[in-house]
Amino acid sequence: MRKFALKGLIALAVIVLICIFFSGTLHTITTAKVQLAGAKSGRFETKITMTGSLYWPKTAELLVEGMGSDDTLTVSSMNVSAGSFVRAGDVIAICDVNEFDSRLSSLRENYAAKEKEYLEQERKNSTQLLSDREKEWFNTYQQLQDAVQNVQTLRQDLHLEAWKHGITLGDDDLLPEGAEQEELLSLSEKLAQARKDEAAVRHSYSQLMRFGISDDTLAYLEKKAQLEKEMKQLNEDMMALRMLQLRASSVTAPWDGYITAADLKPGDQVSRGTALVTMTAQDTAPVIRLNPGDNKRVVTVGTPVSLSAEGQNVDTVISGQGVQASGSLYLEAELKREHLTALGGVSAISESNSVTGTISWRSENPSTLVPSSALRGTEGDYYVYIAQKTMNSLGAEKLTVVKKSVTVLGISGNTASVQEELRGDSIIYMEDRTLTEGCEVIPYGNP
Amino acid sequence: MKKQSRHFGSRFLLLLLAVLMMLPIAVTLVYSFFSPEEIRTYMATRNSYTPGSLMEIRLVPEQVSLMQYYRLLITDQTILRFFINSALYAIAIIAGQLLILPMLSYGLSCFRFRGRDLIAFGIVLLMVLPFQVTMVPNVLTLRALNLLNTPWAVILPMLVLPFSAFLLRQYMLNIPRELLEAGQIDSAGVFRCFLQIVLPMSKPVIGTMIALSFAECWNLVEQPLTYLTLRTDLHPLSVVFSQLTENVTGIEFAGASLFILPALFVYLIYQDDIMEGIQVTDIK
Repeated sequence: MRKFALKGLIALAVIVLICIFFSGTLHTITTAKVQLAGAKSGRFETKITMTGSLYWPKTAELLVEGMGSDDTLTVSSMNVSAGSFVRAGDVIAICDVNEFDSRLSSLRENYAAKEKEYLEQERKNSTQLLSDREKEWFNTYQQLQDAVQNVQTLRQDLHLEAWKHGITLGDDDLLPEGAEQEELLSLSEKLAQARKDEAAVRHSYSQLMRFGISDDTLAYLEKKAQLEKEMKQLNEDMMALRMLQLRASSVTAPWDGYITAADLKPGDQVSRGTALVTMTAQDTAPVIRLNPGDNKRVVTVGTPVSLSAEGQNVDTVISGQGVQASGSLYLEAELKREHLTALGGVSAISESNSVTGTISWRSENPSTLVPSSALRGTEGDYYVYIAQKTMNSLGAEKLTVVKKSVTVLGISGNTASVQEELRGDSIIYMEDRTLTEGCEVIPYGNP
Repeated sequence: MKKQSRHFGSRFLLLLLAVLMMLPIAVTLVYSFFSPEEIRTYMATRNSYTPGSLMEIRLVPEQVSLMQYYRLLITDQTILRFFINSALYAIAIIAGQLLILPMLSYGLSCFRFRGRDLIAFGIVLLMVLPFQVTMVPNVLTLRALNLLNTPWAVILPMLVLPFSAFLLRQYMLNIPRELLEAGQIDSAGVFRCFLQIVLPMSKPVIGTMIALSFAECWNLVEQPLTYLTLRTDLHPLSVVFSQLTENVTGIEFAGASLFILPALFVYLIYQDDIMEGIQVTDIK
């Protein structure tokens, strides 16, 4: 009996020690672990978060002025790239007129030839002295030619314009009654005036006809007028070519703005109508175009919005809204130059959905705020689990789960607003297993 | 047949008394196999019975369950911690008593000096005094030594149990002087005589002392309540059971069953020594 009792005592001691040693571990493993949070009192904040990117509302193509249909340029250097900010007068590109020297040389040669021909004719007709009547007759003859040409041109323009508007002109090119188009009325007035001018010149010419002019003199005067005209044209062509070369050698920005597209590179050819770069239109600024998604809250112009990109935040306001071609809504946030710089520059935020915009609204009255993950149940029947300290009859404290129904006023992101006063309660918002009311829990990190 | 019928009445009476005495222990053991929820439900009806009528006593669980032992040993460490406290107090007190009391009794029994009988009388006097009389002086002494609310406040006053000292002294008085003299002739000193003659001969009564001291230490209630007012975590299990309210956890019966076992084992170990020790000291 003594040996049995001794063995029993030793066995009891071993069992108790083993249980003491492992009970803590087993208790930790078998008990649900939870994260607790305290309810706060505050004004509920609703937020909507949108993504967006840089948008240029208005752009303008930068063309080289004075290019003719036969003119082509070669880009020598491009000093800007997409996203660059330029001020009025900054040199954007340097170009050269193709075959400038050969064309200028050709024009000079032509001019010299025409001048030589003119001088030769003058020399041949130097003995011919023109009377005032003959000069007057020739001038009137040329005016009549110009007037007839003018009437013909205006008549053609009027007919074309009438055809565009689907109107049939009457006899003598008269507009039908009720025609109110401004362009047609203007052309009709000009045609009428041109006809009057032609009639006046024709009258002057008819009066001068009685004096007559010899054929040789007429031929001389016509030749002379033609040569003068050709020389004048050649001179103008040389001027235009040289002006073009001057402009192309230093293409400057017409106003302050951002370069939105600069696809040309040195060596590329530029013809009439080809844009060197595209830049923001005068007095326009870029915006951040945001996609509000399924947000149902009304956002008005002037609503403050916080933009963030590349880890930086700026505060601005909503400056516009509209509907995209796809039918989805968009919001535009005003963007000043310092905002653009703070957000990392154009290149950082021009990629799609690279900017995040957040608009928040705060309620007027404070309420109880809890983590939204603490809410359980379904809409209309929400409840939370609270960890309540209980003490058993042996004086040991433990946390047990108590269920408490709540009335939810609103949920936004990670925060929910409830009507009930929950300050002082430890609310369970995360657990590692399913909880039931009355079960014991231990907080994370504090077994 | 006549002999058997003569003792039938007394045996029946003794049996009845034995059953009545064993009933609480048996009920404790049976209830330890009830499920905690069933125990809680049953205990909740404790104060709601009709006065004058017998309270319902269930002896059969709805479902036999070891959940009480599982919670006691694995899930809820509370009772085990108090159990450890009780064990530590008992071991420390008995170890201290074994160190002090045999030598005390040896000195008071085997030597003659002035005041020996007075001291012995003082021990007997302490034996009959209740705890409440010495409680206040003990508290003041422990507070002066800054030992209140420490385990030493429970251990130190218990190191010299008057009854154990008396028991040992009475036994040692019966040790023949010739044995001690023989040892002295063989050049054994006082301490050597104590170790090699007195102690081996006193084994039965020392076993008795251990068993009786264990019983007293295992059931400490008043001393921890008095000396450990601010440190309820140092209370032994006996104090906890004495303060149970109606808000039971459902594992108290398993805890009580566990509480019985050490005392039972110690008694079984020293059962023979107890009988022998009582006989030798003529306490019948």
